[in-house]
Amino acid sequence: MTPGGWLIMLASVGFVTGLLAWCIYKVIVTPDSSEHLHTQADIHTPDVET
Amino acid sequence: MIALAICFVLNFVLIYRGLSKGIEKFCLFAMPLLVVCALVVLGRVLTLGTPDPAQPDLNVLNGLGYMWNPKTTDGSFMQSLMNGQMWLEATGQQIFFSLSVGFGIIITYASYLKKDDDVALSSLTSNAGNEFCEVALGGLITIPAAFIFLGTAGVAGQGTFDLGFKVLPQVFETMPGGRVVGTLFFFLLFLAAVTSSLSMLQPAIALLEEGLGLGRKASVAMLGFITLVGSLFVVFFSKNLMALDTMDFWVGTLCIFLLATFQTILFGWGLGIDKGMEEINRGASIPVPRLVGYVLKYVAPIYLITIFVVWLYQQITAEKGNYFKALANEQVAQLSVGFILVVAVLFMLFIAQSVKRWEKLERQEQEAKR
Repeated sequence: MTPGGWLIMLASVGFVTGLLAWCIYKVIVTPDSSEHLHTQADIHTPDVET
Repeated sequence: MIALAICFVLNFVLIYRGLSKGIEKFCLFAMPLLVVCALVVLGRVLTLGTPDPAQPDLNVLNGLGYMWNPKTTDGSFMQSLMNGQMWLEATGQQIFFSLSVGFGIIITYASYLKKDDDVALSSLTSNAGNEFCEVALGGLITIPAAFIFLGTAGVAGQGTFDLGFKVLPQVFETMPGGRVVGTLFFFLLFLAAVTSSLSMLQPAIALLEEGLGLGRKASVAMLGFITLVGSLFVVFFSKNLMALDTMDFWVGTLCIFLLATFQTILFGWGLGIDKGMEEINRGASIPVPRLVGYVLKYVAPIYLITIFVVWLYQQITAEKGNYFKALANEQVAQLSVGFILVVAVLFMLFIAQSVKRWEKLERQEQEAKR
């Protein structure tokens, strides 16, 4: 593992982990934010309506 | 073949019975569990050390180095950066495909959102989650583990998808409770794959139901038939995976890339960044910088068109891996592209018919109001 390898790995993994942690933090601390967030499960295409 | 049949039947039974919503609700809990499983596997991979003392080079640090070291000494680093095919696949097949950008899924789901739904935070969170799984988990597990167990020769030329299924069982064997974790991991991975394939089928079913006014049974039967013909076509022409590779490239890489480029241009130049940014920022918990608008209007189209032109030039002049040459010389490639065109034309007809039907319904509604 070269210094360049360490640098790229730590920068890449650190960035995506930090970004995800920040997003989850924002979703949790922003009042009512989860009410405006959607997953596929919340979307009612005709084929999932029973 | 049996596995393919099981997956095929399972997908269409779930769609037909309307159970896809239940599966996806279940996945709200199952997917975080999958990430926990992956973190356990990651912990094991990073503590593997040198599993075979007879081969001291095959250790964790060298495995991570194989994945992350920029190969500057032999010039392959710069060669990769100059390779149009690499950029096209990284953009189309990796980023656009894994985020479902460029094909109907996101547009279909977007049409079901409410006006004030938080598009900005939803998109950023799903992007961040996707990148975390691909870069932090995938990049630290599969390739390093494959290097440790198979060596350089075993890793070279194989896709990470293939490698994962070959290598991860070996990782599970070396950990306490590995069978339980392994079973859970692959089961959850299977569920994740089912939700992905369901989400790819749902827009087409939604079009058939809403656009053509067909019932569930007829819609599922029609889409099932088209999918079955495509699946059998790929199975029948399975020599060297020619049909699969051709369809994967023309649809899964190139068409997605072109459609996403078109959508980017449509956002920046058709809709306009003022209106576009207003849409993004409505109901958003995080302010989206105006710079994003300029990136979408100028940087993204230039980047995407440049990649396409470089790739096109390299493809035309390439001796190896030339998809145009394959299309000109290989009968299976011609049949595969022919199949793609037939399906594309069929769906265009469905869309044209749907538009006619919607216009007629709108006219009837207006007449009823008078």
